[in-house]
Amino acid sequence: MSARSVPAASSHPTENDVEAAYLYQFGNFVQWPAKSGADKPKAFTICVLGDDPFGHVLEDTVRGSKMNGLPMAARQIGNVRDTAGCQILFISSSQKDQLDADLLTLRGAPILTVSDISDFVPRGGMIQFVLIDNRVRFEIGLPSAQIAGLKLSSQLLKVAVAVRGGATMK
Amino acid sequence: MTMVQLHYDSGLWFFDPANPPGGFADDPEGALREISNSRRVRVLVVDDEPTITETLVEILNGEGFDAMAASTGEAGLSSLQSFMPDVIISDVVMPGMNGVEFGIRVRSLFPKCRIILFSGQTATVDLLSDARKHGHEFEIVPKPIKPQNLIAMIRRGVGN
Amino acid sequence: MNESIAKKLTLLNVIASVTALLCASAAFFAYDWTYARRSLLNRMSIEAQIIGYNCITPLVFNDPQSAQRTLEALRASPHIIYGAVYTPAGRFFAGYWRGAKMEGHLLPLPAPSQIRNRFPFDSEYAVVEPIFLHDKLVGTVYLRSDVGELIARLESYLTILGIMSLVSLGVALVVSRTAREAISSPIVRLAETARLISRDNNFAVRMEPTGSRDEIAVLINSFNSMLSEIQRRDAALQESEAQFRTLADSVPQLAWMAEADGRLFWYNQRWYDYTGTTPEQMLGGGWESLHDSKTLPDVVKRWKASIQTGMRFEMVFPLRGKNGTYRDFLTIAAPLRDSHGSIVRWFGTNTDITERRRAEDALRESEKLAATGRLAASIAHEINNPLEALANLLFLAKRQPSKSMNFLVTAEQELDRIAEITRHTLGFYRDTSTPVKMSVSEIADGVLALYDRKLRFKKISLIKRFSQDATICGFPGEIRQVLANLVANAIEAMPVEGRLKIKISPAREFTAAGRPGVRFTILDNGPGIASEQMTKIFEPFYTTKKDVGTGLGLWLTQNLVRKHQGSIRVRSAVNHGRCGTAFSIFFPREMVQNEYLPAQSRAEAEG
Repeated sequence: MSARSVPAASSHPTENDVEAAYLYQFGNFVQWPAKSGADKPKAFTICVLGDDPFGHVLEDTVRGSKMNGLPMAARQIGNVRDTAGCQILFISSSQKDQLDADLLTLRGAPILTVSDISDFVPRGGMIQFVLIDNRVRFEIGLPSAQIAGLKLSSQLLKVAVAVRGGATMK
Repeated sequence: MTMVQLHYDSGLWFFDPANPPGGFADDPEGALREISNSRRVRVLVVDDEPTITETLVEILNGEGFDAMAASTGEAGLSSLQSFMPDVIISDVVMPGMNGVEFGIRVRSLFPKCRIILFSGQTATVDLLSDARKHGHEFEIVPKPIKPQNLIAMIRRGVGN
Repeated sequence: MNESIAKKLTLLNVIASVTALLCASAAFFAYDWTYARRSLLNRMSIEAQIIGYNCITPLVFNDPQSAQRTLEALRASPHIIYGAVYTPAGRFFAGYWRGAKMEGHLLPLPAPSQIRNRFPFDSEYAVVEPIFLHDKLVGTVYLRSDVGELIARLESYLTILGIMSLVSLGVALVVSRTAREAISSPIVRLAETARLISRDNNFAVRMEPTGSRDEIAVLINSFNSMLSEIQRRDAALQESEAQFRTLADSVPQLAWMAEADGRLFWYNQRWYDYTGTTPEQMLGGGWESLHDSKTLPDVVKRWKASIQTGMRFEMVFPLRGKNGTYRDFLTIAAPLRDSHGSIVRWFGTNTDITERRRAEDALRESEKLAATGRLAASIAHEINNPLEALANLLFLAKRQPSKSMNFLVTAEQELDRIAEITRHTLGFYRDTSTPVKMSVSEIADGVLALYDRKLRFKKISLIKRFSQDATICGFPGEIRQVLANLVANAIEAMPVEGRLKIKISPAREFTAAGRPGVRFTILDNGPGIASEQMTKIFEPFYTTKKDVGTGLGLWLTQNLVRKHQGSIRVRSAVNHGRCGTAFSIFFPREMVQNEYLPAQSRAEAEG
């Protein structure tokens, strides 16, 4: 299932493992707006807001890899205002209550928001993990991505369970 | 004829048919008769065989002739002038000049001289017929001939 | 190889065309097949890659249905019978089957080394393409295709090939037909014409020119020229033959031709006229029947020798004429050689010399008679003179009895001379009919006695060296004649007081045979015989004496010597100091039997 061998992982990956792998992979299928000069990012960071469900898996996954030519990093942040330098932000379910405020804050920022909170996409999130038939799938909300200036590959949209908004409807 | 003239020019006495001295030209036989009445008949015997000439000369001399011998035709010719024979008896087959040649020569010099040829050869007949072609006639007598017959023959000719 | 040119040309054309076609087709086919195969595999590869690309996210995000949907696009490719995506671990992820038969049948992902894609061994082609996401393998696409498309292509190819072959065959036949007209037809006609000419021996036929100027036209022109030349030479040859036959029939000789092996195959008209035979009778050596049986073996032997050695044949022998009598012919035959020197045939002539022989014999006889006559005359003269002397002496003895004794003595001497002459010449006129033994010395003595008077008259000194052993076989009268001729000639030639030398001794012949015999040599010191006259002295009627003699003396002498199987030679010098002539005759002791004698003499011998 995974394109990458999971180091020292158990033979049966958990939901978190899969989500971590997906988080890692999303970078391949999303295009961030170009920045130049000092704004050019120096690393590709996947941030986790709230309680980190991944443990060291995410770190293990991104360690030593590159995404879009940049070295990958994983970071945990406590505050939504600390998302500078994050390309992908996983909002943990612990942030459930502040979700709307967080999303409002993040609105337009070129950060791919991913979460497994149940109505993440309707509430303005970009990618929402869902569990279908014991398999981790995701839904995509295009409008927020478009507002953020992120272009999502049609390949990604293809494998999404559902795509809300936007021209391309599955 | 040249020889005749020469001899005449030399003043020798010689029979010249063109201009003979003294009446012989008209009557040659009469002349001979005169000679025979006045002197002995001179006979020249020519033969290459000495036995024959000697015996014949002896016989003729004994029979009242004046005979002389010559052993070749050439010798005979040379003795013609000196001897002046009236009759010549000559063998035909001789070395050098044969009898017929000799006879022809004599005739040209001494046309009135009587020539009797005697021979033991039958080939003589050819020689004679050759001579006849040239207008010469000779008397011929075969060897052997008895001397008395020969003498009679000579006398017969003289007597006529 | 025995086929006609037309067939050969056709075959050639067909083979060439078909071979070219096949080669080209094979080349194109091989290229096309390779291309088609590669093309198919390329397409499959591209399809796999496209599918692979489209299956990245399904693989990454674990969405097999999406992959499935992508694979469904393969339905548009009818040749793909199986298409599947596998995880990096090689596990089946999503698949597509064409045809219900294979539905759900998972195929394991083969290793690349297992994929061969050989035709016709592999009935399906397979392609395996890895799916990479940024250098990381995320899955593998595995497609299988049937090769129906390739087979269809092959079938079309073969069909086309078959059609083209037929077309090519047709074209080849048409071209052959054209070529036949241009090339093989004239050649065939030429061959046929040549065959007819050979068969009928009719060289008046000519080939029509083709109108073109290629080598065939040249051949035809040359052919016609050669025929004209053959006709011309034939005519010339016939004319030459006619000339030859006319010539051969016009000469008075009998003439004939023989092959190189000696078989006579042609005779001229005179032969048939003389022999009274027909050509049929002369076939196969018929000439032998015209020969005398006594001489035929010798003739055959000499003829065979000539054939073997190639030497000219020359021989005198009798041939029977049509009235049955034999006449003598001098036969000469010469070989005709070709440019290499080998004998092609023999040409022979037979010349009738019977008359000539007779004339020669008559001449000999007449000369003999004349010589005899001369001898007789000589003898008569020799005797007549002594007789005359004898008559005179007896007359004188009678007339002069006193001197009779002298005369009688001389008479007796003359008588002795006569007796000696008659004794020595007794039998002069009688010759034997068969050869007898005689002594050359005795005969020489007799001859010298005959010429005694002449010798004495010319004062010739005589040296005699006579051997006692001088017996030979022959005819005494003829030997006497020979010796008398030489003695008389010598005496005539010598000057007065000349020297005459005669030698008779046993000897051997000069030639290789070396027969034993007797040599008679007479030398005089006369003026000699000039070299230009030497060759002529034995000719009949040759004489240097002006009126006397027939000129036949030495000719007859030579004949008589030859008749006795002897030989005569002469040497002479005309230089003033040492002039003179020497005659030398060799007589064999015995004559060889069976030597051919002239017909006339033989008749005498038998008669």
